Amino acid sequence: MSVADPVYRYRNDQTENALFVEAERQLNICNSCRYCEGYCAVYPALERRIVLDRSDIVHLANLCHDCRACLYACMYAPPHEFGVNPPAILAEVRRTTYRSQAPWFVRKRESVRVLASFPLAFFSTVFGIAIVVMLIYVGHGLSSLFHTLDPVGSPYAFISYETIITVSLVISGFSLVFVTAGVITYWRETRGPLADLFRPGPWARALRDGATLRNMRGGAEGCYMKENHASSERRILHYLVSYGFLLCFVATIAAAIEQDLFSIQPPFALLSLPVISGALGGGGLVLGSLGLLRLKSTQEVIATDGPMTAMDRSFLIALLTLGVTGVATLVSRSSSIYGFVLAIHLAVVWTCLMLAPFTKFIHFIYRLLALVQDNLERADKLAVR
Amino acid sequence: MGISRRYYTIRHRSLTRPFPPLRSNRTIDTGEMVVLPGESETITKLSGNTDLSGEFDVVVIGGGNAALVAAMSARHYVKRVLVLERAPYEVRGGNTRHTRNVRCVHQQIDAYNTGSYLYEELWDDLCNIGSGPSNEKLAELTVRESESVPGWMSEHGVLWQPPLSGTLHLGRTNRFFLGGGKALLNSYYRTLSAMSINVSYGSSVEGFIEQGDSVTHLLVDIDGKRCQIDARAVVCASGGFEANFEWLARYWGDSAYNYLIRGPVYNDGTVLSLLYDLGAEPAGQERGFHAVAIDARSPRFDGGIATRIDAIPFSVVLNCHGERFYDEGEDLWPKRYAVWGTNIALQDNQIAYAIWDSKVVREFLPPMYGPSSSMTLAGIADSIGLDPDRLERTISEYNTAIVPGVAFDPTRLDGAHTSGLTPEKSNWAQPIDQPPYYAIAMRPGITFTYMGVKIDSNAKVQREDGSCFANVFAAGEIMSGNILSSGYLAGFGLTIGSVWGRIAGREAARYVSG
Repeated sequence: MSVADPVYRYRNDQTENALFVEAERQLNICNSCRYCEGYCAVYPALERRIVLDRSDIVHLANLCHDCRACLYACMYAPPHEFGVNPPAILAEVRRTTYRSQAPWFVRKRESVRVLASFPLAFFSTVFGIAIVVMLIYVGHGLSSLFHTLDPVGSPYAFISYETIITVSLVISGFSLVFVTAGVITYWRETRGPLADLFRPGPWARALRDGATLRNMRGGAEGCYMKENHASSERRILHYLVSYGFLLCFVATIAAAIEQDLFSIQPPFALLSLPVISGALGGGGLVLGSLGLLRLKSTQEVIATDGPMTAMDRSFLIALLTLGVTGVATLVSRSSSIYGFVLAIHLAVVWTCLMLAPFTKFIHFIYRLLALVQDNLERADKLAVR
Repeated sequence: MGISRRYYTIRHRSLTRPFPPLRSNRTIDTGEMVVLPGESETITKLSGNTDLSGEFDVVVIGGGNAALVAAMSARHYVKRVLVLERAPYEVRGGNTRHTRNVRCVHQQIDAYNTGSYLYEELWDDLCNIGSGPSNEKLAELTVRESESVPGWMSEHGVLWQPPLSGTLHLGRTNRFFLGGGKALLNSYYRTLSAMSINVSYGSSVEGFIEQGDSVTHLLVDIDGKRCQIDARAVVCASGGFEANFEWLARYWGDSAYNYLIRGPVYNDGTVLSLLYDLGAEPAGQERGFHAVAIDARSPRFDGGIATRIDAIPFSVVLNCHGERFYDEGEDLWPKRYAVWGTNIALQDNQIAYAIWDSKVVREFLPPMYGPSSSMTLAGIADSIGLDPDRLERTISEYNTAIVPGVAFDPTRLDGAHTSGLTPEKSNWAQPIDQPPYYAIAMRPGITFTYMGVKIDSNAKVQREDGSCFANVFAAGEIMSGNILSSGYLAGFGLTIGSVWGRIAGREAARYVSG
């Protein structure tokens, strides 16, 4: 009997059910082989399971950090008739996780397309918000867009602190509702008891795994974005992006503290914490997202899922825009275009914040949850079933 | 010039052609396209940028572990080394694709071995399988040389992993390479490239041209195009003949057609038969092979590890008549898994059925296609097509024959046995009484054949008249019959390939350098 038939069936049946049937078929082959157990956490986690159901597959998919070492080590990879390709099938499953967090009105209308066309959604939202921000400026006269206002280099010359805070809080609240709902749904589906989500030991280890991107080491050599070429590039670029993002966040918090606790008003000195961390963070975001965009464009297509790559690209373009406009805001703060640049940057920040729950922005949250689950399983030394 | 012409019609075999013809059936055709030395046609279709013209110092036939080790070993001494891999790039590497670890002597515990494994112990293990080593001198050399193999592998790009799990419990004796055999091959091929060793894929050796006691030229079919390659020395590391059913049927009769081959379709023994034609002396038993029990639904070729069934020690195994026929609990699985290929090969219809219950499902790797299951034994009999009454009777006889009071322990010989059966089950005997019940049909999965060519301690191929070829060497499965007679020791195929690949490559290069 040949197993080529299920592959054929799956290729001709693009429903979610067919996807999970195919993922289960491939993972069962992996579970009876187990050669890849040295690469990452996915395979030991698979070995803790004898029978796979949908929740197991979702968990394994989100635990996968997409290093692709297993694909190139697999004697059953295409063109073998078993057609085993874990990175691609798990990416496809992850896409269903991300999609399931979209609001019902988007989800019902084949949201993959919406998400895949994210650059369009992103830039039109940016555009809309930028218009609104500029309208707010009109209070200072429309010409203020291209003139310096006092105090020079302070955003509050254009838009009040209260407005920025209010808008940011409203958008964050909106996103938080969806992210929280997503986290709860995901945890219920893959693990069960919410109480498990509050165990400090596994969390500490999960945070360490996440912060070091241990599972992107692919055993030893790093990620295989191409056959016969493994490197740490992808992991390092991820450090740049994620720690860059974190530094930008630090800059914002530091600015708030200086303002509210020490009554130091912007513009902050060049050697102040908000400026240094903002500049470093923005630089990391730009370099990291450019590097990852380049990696995506040269990667081997067989190892991944097309729509997922589209999501990745959109996400990276958003991060790049975030970094570029952030750095531009800093650089241009004493020039006549500061008002204009600031409006664009605020629009980008708010757009990212608003779209985060429905795009690749949230991937790190599910990866982290999967790592918590993985460390819970290891801590309990418990077979899942 | 004393050239004995051996030209044959080149037949390009593809993966879709499951039964390659026996060489003896081929038309000998000296009239067609005779390529003489000095008249080599210009080769255009090359793998990579390999220039196949001019004389190579060492030509290695094969693309698996033994071949690559031989090529690297030779390249340390000579400049122009060529690897002729019959398979296309995507499925390069022969049976090595399906390997996972290597069994070597080691004195120390380290990150990759959980304990020491000394010369005497490996030697004893080797003597305790089947009828022991075929040639004690060569087997001793293999065991002795194995100690330096892991270090050599590391130096040539191989990465290792700690033994994490699996049911074979080989972490002390065997060293696991990270990601398994294909990852090992990828590392080696990258090293080959770094060492400027030429590799030609889709290159099938179809004939040798002999001059005196040397092979000077090879007739090679490269992706359907025939050409001639000039060699100063040749290493044959092209594997056994397990993928050639007609050849197997010579020794096993028609039952061979019910065997499944765990490795690629390319191992049909072409090079081995060419060597026999040149008078090479056979080594090893005709029916010697490494075979295990695999899922009867596996593909005819290349199913590899995932199709193996490890349920046997915790099951009852029945033949097609619903009878038990061999002690399922004879010894620890790593020591006995290899007897089951032959066990099943010797049953009627070359099929057997493992039956277990829900108590033991966690004790072994889950079968890839999944077992059939039922809440009743009759349902199980129905699912595998056995007579329900006969099956129930066998199971109930087995259940009542179990000597009570011995605790089941899957990690050691627990002595939980039956009494009064023929054959008995001597360990891990537990009643099959806790539904759901599970069953799976198994066939012999042939890994590789042992019968090959006789070599001396320099891996030089010997002839039936007692002489040696001057420049023909052999390594890997094609000479494994010098070491293994019957039975198998997990990870030892890689040991043989590595030890003899190293010797063959080195000696071939030494011959060339004078």
